[in-house]
Amino acid sequence: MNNAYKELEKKCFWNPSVGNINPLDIQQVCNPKFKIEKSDKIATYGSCFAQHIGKNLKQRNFDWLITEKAPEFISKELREEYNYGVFSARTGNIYTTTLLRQWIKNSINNQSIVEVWKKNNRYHDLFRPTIEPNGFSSENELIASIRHTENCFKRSITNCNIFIFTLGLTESWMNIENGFEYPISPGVAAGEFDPYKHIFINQNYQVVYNSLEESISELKKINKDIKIILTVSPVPLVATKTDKHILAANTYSKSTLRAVAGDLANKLSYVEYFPSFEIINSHIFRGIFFNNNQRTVNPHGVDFVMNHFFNSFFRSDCQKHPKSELTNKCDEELIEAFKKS
Amino acid sequence: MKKICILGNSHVGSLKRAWDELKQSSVGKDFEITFFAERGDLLKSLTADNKMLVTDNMRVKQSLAFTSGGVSHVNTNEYDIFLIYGSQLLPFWLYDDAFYSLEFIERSIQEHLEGSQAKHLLTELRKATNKEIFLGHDPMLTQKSSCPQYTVKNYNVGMEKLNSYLAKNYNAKAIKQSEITLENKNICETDIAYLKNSRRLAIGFNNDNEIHPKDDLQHMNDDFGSIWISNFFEKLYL
Repeated sequence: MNNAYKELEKKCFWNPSVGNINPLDIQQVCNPKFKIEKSDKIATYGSCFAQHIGKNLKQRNFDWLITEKAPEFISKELREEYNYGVFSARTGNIYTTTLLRQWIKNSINNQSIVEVWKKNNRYHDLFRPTIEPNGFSSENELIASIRHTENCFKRSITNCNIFIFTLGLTESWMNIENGFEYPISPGVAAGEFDPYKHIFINQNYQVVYNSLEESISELKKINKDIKIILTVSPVPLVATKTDKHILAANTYSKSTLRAVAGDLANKLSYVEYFPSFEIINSHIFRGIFFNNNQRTVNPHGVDFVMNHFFNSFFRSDCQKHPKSELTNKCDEELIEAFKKS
Repeated sequence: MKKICILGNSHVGSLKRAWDELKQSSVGKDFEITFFAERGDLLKSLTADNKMLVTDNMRVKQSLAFTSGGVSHVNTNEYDIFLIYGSQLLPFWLYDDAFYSLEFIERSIQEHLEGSQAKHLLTELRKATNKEIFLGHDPMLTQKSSCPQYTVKNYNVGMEKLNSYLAKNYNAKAIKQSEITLENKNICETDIAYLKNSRRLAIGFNNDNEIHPKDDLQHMNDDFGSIWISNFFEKLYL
């Protein structure tokens, strides 16, 4: 008897590809529309988890495109303290799709509004609150730095073959007076929170979809040959500003991001979705990829997801490399310091 | 006649032998140089004692006496100008098309200097005297080395920042390596011709003035030393 499932590949069926095998033997979780060549230049941005992709590209000797860099003789520790080599340019974490759109627009006009917070004679950039560990020495230095980063960000788009963006959050903070978005609520890492000026928005599907679609369209205008890989961070929210339980808020946030990323990847031939979220979060792994806090991903999880990533996208031989380092820079985690005991 | 005191490690060898020739020529007519050198980083045993740099290390005392012509301590009153040469101070460079915060540059320079004999000598020398102090970094490596390349523009930007830092913190100045010693006028790599017949610093040992092994890509020959000293004198005339 003929039926619609008869000709499908094994991967389409639960039992042979998941249920009846050791979960660590799971294969072909992603069959991308395009492959990455060893010679391709790859730009990476997004939430904290995106940092693993960049680090792994470097460890495996792929061409991770860094357009804002410090000299190589400076120690890795110092470079990381000042956020060099964390993402392709020193944007800091870009958690939301609306913030990605803001960065793209600012990099095009290179005259964005700059919000400076002065404390103890040091100047802090509210769009990159932890980019310099002690802030800048003057407002002019801060502005010069952000303009340079905007240029480097644009150059990374222009010069890359592959742009990888990891979606992290739907919960966002806006300045209602000027209409721009912060990466993190003012008052957490820098600045003062003003309830009349700073508003919380938990972005819904349509907002995330529209801003990501617009971002992709702008990326394509800058670089017509660009290919884009979307991933969703498997790392749960550190806190929610909604009135929901964090578990429910996290599911809403990740589900929304996952749905948008999948829909745009289904729609656009040059956009692919890689399921890092599913690989880490699926119940079939029984949480083995999380640390004891059930939030941060342990090195086994990072290695596992990265091996799947490289096996999926790269034609070239991607030998497994030394265990991943887990020293990511996550502004969001600063929120934890404000929790009630 | 300006009296110059040069302190440093094995790299001083090329300067010293070059000076032995230059001092007879018109190039050296306005200067008198005394060398205080020892291999490796053993000059880290020198410490400031009032206006002097002194050491308890017998080997270092002997090397100082050998290289200076009989004196085993540095009396800063006897010299007008000081040069700290080599001594693990490496060329400092920054990408010329990048923007770096002042704090990041200062932290990078601090890290760059940290642990070097050059920093130790600079610190101790500054305790002992207010006179002019110059620094000369180790020669740039040659094309044969596998270090990342940097351009002359990168080097110029970096050395300008290094000099701002040295001026502010030590009232000292670093001298750049002459561009005529480079293989290519845009890339900071010493011409491999200056490796040929480079010799060990003489400190009274059996292997004094021995030719460096072929795989030594750091030590330059007497021609290099001659160019370096001539370039240094030109800066002093300015």
